Amino acid sequence: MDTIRLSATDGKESQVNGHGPDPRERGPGSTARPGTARRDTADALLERAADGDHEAFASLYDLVAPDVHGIARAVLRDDHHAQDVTQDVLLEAWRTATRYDPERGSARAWLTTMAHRRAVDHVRSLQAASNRDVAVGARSVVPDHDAVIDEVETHLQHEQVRRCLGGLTEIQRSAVMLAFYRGLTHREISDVLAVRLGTVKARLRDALIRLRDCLGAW
Amino acid sequence: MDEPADTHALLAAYVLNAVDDAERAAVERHLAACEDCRDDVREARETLAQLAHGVAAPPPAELKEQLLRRVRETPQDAAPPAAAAADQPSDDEAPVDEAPDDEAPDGEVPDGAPTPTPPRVPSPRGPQEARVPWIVAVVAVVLAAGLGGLAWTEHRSALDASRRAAAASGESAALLELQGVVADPAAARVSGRTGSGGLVTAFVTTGGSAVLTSGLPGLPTDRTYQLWSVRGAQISSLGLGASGPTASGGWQRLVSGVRPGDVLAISVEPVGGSRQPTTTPILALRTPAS
Repeated sequence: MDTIRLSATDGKESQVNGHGPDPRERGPGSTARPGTARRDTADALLERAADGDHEAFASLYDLVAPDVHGIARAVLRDDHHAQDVTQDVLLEAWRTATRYDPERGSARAWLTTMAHRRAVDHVRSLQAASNRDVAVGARSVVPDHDAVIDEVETHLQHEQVRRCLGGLTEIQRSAVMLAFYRGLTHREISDVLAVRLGTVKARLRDALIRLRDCLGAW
Repeated sequence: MDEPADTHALLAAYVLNAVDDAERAAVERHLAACEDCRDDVREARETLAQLAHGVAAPPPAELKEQLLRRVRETPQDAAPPAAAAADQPSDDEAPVDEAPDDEAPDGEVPDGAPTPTPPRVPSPRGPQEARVPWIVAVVAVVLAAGLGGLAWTEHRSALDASRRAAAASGESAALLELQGVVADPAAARVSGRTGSGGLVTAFVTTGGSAVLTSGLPGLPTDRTYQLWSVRGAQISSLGLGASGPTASGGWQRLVSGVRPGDVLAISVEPVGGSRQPTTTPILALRTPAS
């Protein structure tokens, strides 16, 4: 069975790159968020776009399109498809901006969530088309997960993200990177890393918690 | 059935889109009953937004122009009433393509673009009428360069008629976008004649495609032209063309979802359109591969 304990799973794997104490105090109710102004800018622009403000939408594009395009490109590994996803996501954002509520999350999170989902769905549909009769484990990416992770790491622009990923255990980091930057399912990750499914689920959860604590809010 | 603990354990995988459809549905049922879990999901999405920022890469500059052009022609959804606040995109699933991607045959690349949409309804705002003549002039040059003089004359009269009709109804915006596609120097262009001598020209760009017709046969009142893209064995509707007897007057449509190399086809269908072609296309054009 894959029923697992959700707590206290840190520290089983070797600790790579121990991270220093995070200087920020934060908790669920923390309001002193570094970078708040930046987040608020995108949120405010999206709210203005919801009122039909084209200029605000163009400014929002400048602010968020690199993130949307970046994650689409990471998952899809194809510039043409990544640009399609970017355009579709941002057009969708324009169309549905009226439904955006900043109380429920930042504009950036809303947009990158959309982009990631679309990119992942697209990758899976490609796999379904080309690998219908092939076991998932035979995917070409599978034997190469170290190379995959290395490649993503070389594209990491953001020092803080790099540092925080480096602060995870090896399995946490591999699992979260294969899921987020490559669109693998937890079953595929289990195959690739040769760890139990329940372990993958728990490591993904641990990784997100530790990344949250390390990265802080915007 | 999933045990709740099992489903709860999938929350992180769910946020990362690392679950299958059945698991996603199970987690969403779980979320509906677990407010703390919804908070966790929101928080995790903020973290993932920062991971996305870690691989930020600006798209090519021309993408912005293409997008803003589409934005100008795309009406926004009405704001939801307060009572419908639960219908939030960030907790709801992000809008997802519903194109039948998994049906793509033979390793053909399925379209990542949204479900083929019907021809765009002209925006009621139509604020850019003053710019129409300039764009028409550009169109004239491009068409004249790309088609024989006779072909251009045929399309021009139809375009002029559409322009007059659009100006009269204050609905020039869609036509304006269509002309922008036609004027795009990067547009791939293909033209062909039907057996009865009608002329069809398609301009394909990554930001949208324009289909121009002139001289097609008029139709019975209960029949319409319908446009299709054909990619491998996958046939997708691009929307309806003109219908009834006046369809012979020439018409234009702006469509999305066509990729260079797709075959573009026109068939006659019952009014309202069909999910798949029910008659043999009167014309099929293979668009140039990029």
